[in-house]
Amino acid sequence: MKTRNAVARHLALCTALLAGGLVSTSAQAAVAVGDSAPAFELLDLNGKKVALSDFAGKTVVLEWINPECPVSRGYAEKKIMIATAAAHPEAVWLGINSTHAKHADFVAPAEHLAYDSKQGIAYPVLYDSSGEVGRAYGAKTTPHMFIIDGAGKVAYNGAIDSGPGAASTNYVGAALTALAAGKRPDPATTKPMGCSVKYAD
Amino acid sequence: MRSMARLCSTAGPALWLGLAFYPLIALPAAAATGPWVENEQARVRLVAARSARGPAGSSAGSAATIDLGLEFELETGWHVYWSNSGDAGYPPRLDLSRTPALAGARLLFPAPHRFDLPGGLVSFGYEDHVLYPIAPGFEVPADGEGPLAPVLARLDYLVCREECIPYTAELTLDLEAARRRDGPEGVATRARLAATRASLPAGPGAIAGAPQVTLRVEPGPASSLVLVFATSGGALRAAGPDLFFEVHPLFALDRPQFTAAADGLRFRVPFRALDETRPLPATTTFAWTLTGLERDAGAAADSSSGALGVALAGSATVEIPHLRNSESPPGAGRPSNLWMGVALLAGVLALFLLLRSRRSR
Repeated sequence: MKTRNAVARHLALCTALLAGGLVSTSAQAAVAVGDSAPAFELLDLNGKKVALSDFAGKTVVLEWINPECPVSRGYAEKKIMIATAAAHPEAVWLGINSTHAKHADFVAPAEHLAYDSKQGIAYPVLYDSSGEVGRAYGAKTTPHMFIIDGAGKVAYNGAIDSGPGAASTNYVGAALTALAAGKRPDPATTKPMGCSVKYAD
Repeated sequence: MRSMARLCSTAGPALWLGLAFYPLIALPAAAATGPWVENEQARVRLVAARSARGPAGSSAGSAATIDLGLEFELETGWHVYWSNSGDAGYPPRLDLSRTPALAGARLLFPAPHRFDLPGGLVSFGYEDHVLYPIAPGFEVPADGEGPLAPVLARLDYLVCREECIPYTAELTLDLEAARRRDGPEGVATRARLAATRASLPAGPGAIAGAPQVTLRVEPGPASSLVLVFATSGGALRAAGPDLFFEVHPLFALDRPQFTAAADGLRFRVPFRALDETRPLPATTTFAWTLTGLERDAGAAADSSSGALGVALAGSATVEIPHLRNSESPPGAGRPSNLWMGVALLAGVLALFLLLRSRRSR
């Protein structure tokens, strides 16, 4: 009888773990606005450790970046991210490259440094080749932008701006202005646009 | 090098469908195509044809509507996007503000296909060839004063394989030619425009015997939409059905899980709120498109379009229960958690009382 109970308990536990696993691996694992920002510690292009917790209390912008993605590169060439970051010195700006090391888009840190210097990108770019941090946030495109407020909560999730066309609205710039004034960003969510993040299959 | 065979195979059914309509159309086949704007991945142009909706028997130059479309031909493996591009990409944006008569016109989107990307991401769009109708069409003035001004349009689009390349194209079209120029090319252009319009996803009310659709929300830790299309006994049958949703401002929708149930086609679509800090409305509307249906052989006996796939589109408003994602702000209603907490407290209290009573014995 005891054995049967143990087997039943084991089965129940396995079922629960399996169910939990299925839920957490779905695309729904993305963070929502108001969620605690998933913690991370990654290496920058110079091999220095950078953790989200280093910036506790500050507004942090995360930009999913890929020099081999023409959309991400197009924004770099137009200096959209650099100009937005410069207009908001109160915020910390971090690039994250989640390209899988075996994907054709993967560039070595030295090459990424050369790209950054050519584009005038002075903010740190962190490598997330396992894709773990990208998946924790639900980063889908390059670029895909997240803003984390001083309390460590996700305050914005979406596109840098309203995209191509005559009159483009800079959503991230507007969100940072709102946060600096003690207001919630509006919109706080938009649809990110660009190349897909090149995760492992 | 674009394969002519591929072009013929994609345009073929459209052409035959258009030709099937042609005997109904007494007008000369006035039509025009704009110049292709080309790059390594794609070429794109505007096309136009005077519509069959013009007065019967009217001659060139009289009041009529000119139907327009945006046509892409794509190199193998490359695609452009549906109105909801999915996890990556973005749909083409056509700016007609320099053509005042068309300033209010917008693209219509044919039924999409699904493209799987590395890492479980997915996008929605078209490969090989797509013709987006532009609506409403151009109304030709009845008085026919002077030649019609050309259409000038700016197009921003993204073409993707695994990598994505953004392009801007300046497109032009000779509307005067679309009003006046007759010829075999006009027949083909008008046929293709008619076919792409005929194949647009239709509301269930527009097709006799289309399935009844029910939509409900299944609450739970992974809350889901459940859509059931009651196809049994109807005029349409499933041939690889797939379900797509327009972008929703409040919810992220996951990949639909399909089962062929006794009551018809059943899709379960997990979703979650995009923003936990704002209250959700009591009801919200989801716009869906169902593809991969076929007319039943019997029901289609009298229809020339029996061989073509059918797509349905509609929207449904559902009540949103007090759903919140796993991490809730204080005050968000989670009755199940509340009761679990009460049960846990009661259990601890019972254990405490039991131990106390044993000790006191």
